[in-house]
Amino acid sequence: MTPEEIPAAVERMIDDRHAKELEDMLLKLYEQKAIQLKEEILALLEEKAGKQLLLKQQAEDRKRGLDAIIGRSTDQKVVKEMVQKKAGIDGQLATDLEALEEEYRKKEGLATRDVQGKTMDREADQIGRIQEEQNAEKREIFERFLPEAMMEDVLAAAEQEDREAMAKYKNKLQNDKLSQIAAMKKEEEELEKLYAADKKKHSHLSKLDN
Amino acid sequence: MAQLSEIDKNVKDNLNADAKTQDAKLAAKLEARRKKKESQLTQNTDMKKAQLEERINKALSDSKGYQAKRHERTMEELEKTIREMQL
Repeated sequence: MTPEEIPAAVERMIDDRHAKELEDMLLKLYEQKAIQLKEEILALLEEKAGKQLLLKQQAEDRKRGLDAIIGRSTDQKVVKEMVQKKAGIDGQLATDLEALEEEYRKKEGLATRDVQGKTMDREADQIGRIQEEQNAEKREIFERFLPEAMMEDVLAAAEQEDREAMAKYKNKLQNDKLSQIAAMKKEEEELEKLYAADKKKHSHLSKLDN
Repeated sequence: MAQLSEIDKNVKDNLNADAKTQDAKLAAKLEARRKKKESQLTQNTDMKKAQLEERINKALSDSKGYQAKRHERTMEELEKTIREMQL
């Protein structure tokens, strides 16, 4: 290899290595996004299951309490009132469980959007950081090993070009983030409308049954 | 006789009022217990979320030592390669 060819070859080598580093980082980000989404949704499902259990326990305890009052009471009017209350507990429980289901469906949507937003912010931060580090490393390599081949103005121009490209990319990421989150929100709203229509239809059919 | 009947009525009224109060007290107590446990569940989720965030940030940021070592190794390898190219 001629001495003139060395700087270009070194630069190619550094660029290849830096591109690989960037790829690894993006893969790592993708993995972390999947982990975060999975764990956050799992935590929400656990929370929901816990709350469902609490509602069921509360209904059972209330029924037991009413049974005790009914057992002690001699007045038929009171007994009748307590029996009616007891009969209403299951209906209230079903309503509460349905409301809980709806609340957590919304929370899941919110968590998914939140993770998407955080991942894109992290991507922008990490890419910015890695680019600065890579530029510094490239500069150091040329200064240490090929000072005679170092063209300060060319290197500075390349760095500036990288920074501009990065600013554009960050801007694009930000726009993508906003549009993706808006699309997810719209999709959720449409789904909610479908659920609401289904609920209304279901309640109408229940009334007809009664 | 009328007095006894009055006393009996009062006792019955008291028992009935007591039954209603007891039910209301029980309902309130059960509701308070559920809300307390629900709040613990929510706190638990928030804690898990914060720990997860911390774990992710740690996983994403290489430790300073590792970064320095990687940089050092790159420099060593490059030095060797450049010397070979120059020969």
